[in-house]
Amino acid sequence: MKRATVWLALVALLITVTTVGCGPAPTPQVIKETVPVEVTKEVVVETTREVVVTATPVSPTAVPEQTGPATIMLYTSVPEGVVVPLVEKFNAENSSDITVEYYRAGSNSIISKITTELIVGRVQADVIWVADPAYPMSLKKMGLLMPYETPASIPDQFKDPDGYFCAGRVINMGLAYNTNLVSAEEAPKDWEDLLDPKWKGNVGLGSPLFSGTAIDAYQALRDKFGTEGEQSSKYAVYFKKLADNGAVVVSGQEDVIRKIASGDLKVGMAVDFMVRQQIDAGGPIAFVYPESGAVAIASPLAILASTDEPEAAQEFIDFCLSQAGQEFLVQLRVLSVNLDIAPPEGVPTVPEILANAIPIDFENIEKNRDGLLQEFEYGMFMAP
Amino acid sequence: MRLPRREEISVSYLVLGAAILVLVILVAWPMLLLFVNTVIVDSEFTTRLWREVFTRRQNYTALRNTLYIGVLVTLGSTVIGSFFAWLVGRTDLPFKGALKALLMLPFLMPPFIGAIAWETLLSPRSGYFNKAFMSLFHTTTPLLDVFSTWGIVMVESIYFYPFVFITVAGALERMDPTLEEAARTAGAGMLKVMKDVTLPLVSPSIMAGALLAFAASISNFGIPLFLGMEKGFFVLTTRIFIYIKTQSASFEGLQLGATLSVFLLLASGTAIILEGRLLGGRKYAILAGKSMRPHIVELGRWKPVFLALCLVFLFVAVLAPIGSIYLVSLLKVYGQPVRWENLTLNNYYHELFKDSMIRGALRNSLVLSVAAATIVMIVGSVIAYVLVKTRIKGRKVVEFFVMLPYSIPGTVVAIAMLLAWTGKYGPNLYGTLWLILAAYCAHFMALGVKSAAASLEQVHTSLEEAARVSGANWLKTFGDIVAPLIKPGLVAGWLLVFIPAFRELTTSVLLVSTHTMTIGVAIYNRLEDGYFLLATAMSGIILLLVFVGNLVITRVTR
Repeated sequence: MKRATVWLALVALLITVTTVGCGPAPTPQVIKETVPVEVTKEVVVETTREVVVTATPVSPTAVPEQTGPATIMLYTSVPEGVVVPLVEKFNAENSSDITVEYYRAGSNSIISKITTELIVGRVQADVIWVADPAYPMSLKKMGLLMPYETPASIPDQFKDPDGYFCAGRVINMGLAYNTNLVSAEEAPKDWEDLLDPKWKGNVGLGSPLFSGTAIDAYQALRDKFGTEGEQSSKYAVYFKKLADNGAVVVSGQEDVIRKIASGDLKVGMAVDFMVRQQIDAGGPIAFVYPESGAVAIASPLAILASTDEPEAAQEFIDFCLSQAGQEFLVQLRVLSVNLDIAPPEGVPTVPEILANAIPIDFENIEKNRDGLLQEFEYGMFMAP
Repeated sequence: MRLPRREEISVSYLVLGAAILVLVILVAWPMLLLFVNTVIVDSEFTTRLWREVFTRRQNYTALRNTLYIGVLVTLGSTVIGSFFAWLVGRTDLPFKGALKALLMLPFLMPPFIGAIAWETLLSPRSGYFNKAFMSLFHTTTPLLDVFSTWGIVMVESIYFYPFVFITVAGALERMDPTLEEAARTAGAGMLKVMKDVTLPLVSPSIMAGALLAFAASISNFGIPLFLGMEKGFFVLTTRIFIYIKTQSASFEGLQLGATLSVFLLLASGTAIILEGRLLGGRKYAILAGKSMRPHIVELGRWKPVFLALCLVFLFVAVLAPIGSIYLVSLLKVYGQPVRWENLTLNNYYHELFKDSMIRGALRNSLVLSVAAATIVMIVGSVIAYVLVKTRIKGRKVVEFFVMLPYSIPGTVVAIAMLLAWTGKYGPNLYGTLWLILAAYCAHFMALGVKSAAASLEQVHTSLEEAARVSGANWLKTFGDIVAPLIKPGLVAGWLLVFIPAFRELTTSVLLVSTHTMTIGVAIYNRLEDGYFLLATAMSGIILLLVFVGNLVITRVTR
């Protein structure tokens, strides 16, 4: 009895082992498979785009065949406080019976999820909206994006030259402080003020391991203040000094805001609109645009080439970029990419911010994302 | 044991074969794919991933930290768990029923919610405990910084001692009291009985509980993520997470993470071997066929002291973090002082009535956890029977495949499931609840098998032999004799699976899509989004549901 059971188990295991051993190696095949799949998708895209072009001048109700009832999936790192009202507004108001569903997570979780789905076979997202423009640059290179129409009201500086993505909002990384613990006079005015020993152990920043905004800010400030060391012991001077000043690396950008508002931290690097939302909620926090310039990021919207609903995706993006959509974002304290729309009260205009902003080498982030993250980790946690 | 008849053989084979088949499908196959993926890159055999992982100094630091934390947490959990199990199981302490229920509360808390609860209490500046301490003693040094090694050890010990508490309390309940009575009659004092009779009899259970705590600690992700990352303190699970994060644009991150999880396997493999060594040959059949009231130790004048100790522990370690979660969930803005005008019920209103995703997540988690717990206990008790009551040679292999998915982080189990069940080698389950169910069953199988095995170890073979002699076949013996005897253990095991499955985060986080959102991921998304108050409100609702469910189940099955 016992012996036979052993055999049964062994045979079962053996079958498993041999199938795996003889079968094709799973990983590489998929990655190679994606190329031809993309090609076919591109073809599909080409044909559908023609339809879009012909349909554009006509009002949407005149062409019910193209934009009938559809459901599209949005993967986004835009916080729920912004994306939920926006999606609800679109779902309620669009005339083509399109329903947008969304999956909200930090930039890196979105990237991991899409990577997983690429390995699995198909990306479930039709549209993505993340903070860091370097990611759609990667997707564009991999041939996974579909070009789309953008309204003329958005300046070209916010658009990919080949039309594969376009920014839907401008977010700025600057400085924040707790107004109960820090007066406006002693609050930091520029990036280097965070290195003041009076903030020792009280400075916070978001981690590039979670947040796309944080990796853009890392790239910008790393180039501004320079790096030291070689190879695996290279580090960014500014961030090493922050670490020496006892800086606390929390996970997402929202966590920085929470910890400053709660008084656990006194100052930190933070994203402007999140601070404004927290102020609206009654939190004791204030935002400062640094004197030597903020890290200004145009957060991009893109359509995946694998989408089954290109028209619906286009219509959602049209809504986001429209006058009404952008004005709605400004009501939610976000800065618009439509420069004709006035910013929220008491906030500098987007051209003012951009004129002074620290340049960001997105190409390097795109090419060297992993290296940058390792460098950050070394400088923050390991460098002597 | 006499030789079974032929038709019995076929039935028992069928049952065992089915259980093993489930194990192969759920565990062995995905895990094999996982390992194949660590050595085969682009259709070619390579040791590059292994070399990368094994030559990195940070990985060894992470291994050392994992073991350091794991050992300290195991010690902490074992001392706390065994002591309180004895106190509420074997003494004349008043209010034992209520105390026992309260001591089980940390088990119902998701560890990552626990980490956040403790942050509200022991955050260096704004934590309620630290604030009270600093103003009481006029100092700027906090009582304990939760973002430290000791903070992690303390929080993990508080959330993992119930593993020891449950197994030891169960053993004490089922223990044959005549052994203790015999010792007492022979003139042994209370302490001597405890030391020479009670302790050796429950030591297998203590050991089993300690191993569960150790496995929980080394595979835990939420607590070191929330409390360790700020200071750059990494354990293996967070290191694997970093691999997956930092190589996020390619498959290599998943492969490197999977390779590093072999480190974790080494740690838990050692634990399994250690268990075998420590318990080697010492089998205790302490559940006799008769039922008797357990022997109660009279505490006498020490009673108030023990009661006070119990109450202080309950207040500080168990109730304060839960209270803190509820308190924060009522605030309008995080960080505001707790005053009447700052309180609101809006966070609850929003979660319960405004957000349809939350309702869907609740339903999904409920369906998944009930199904997973039921499957795990049915398959698990059959496997446990094989492990405990037979001498089959491949037992250790079976045990290995049971322990494997529990001892590696949920993230890696999720990757294995994605490799196995997304259409390349069979059905594509991506985007369905089946995928998450498969992951839960694989991940929690160890809990089911271990709890069923712990109960089975205490059922003396004489009872089965009696049934066999009277003509019952294997299936009837199992159903009529063994199953009823181990029923309390199975119910406990069912809960042991249901509760962590209900608020599971680490595995689900890679497997959910919008329609298969689970409640753990929903709460985590809230936290990541900075909606701390909504997350605490949701946690409050979950705690209430789990607590009420727990009460109902224990009532019904009593």
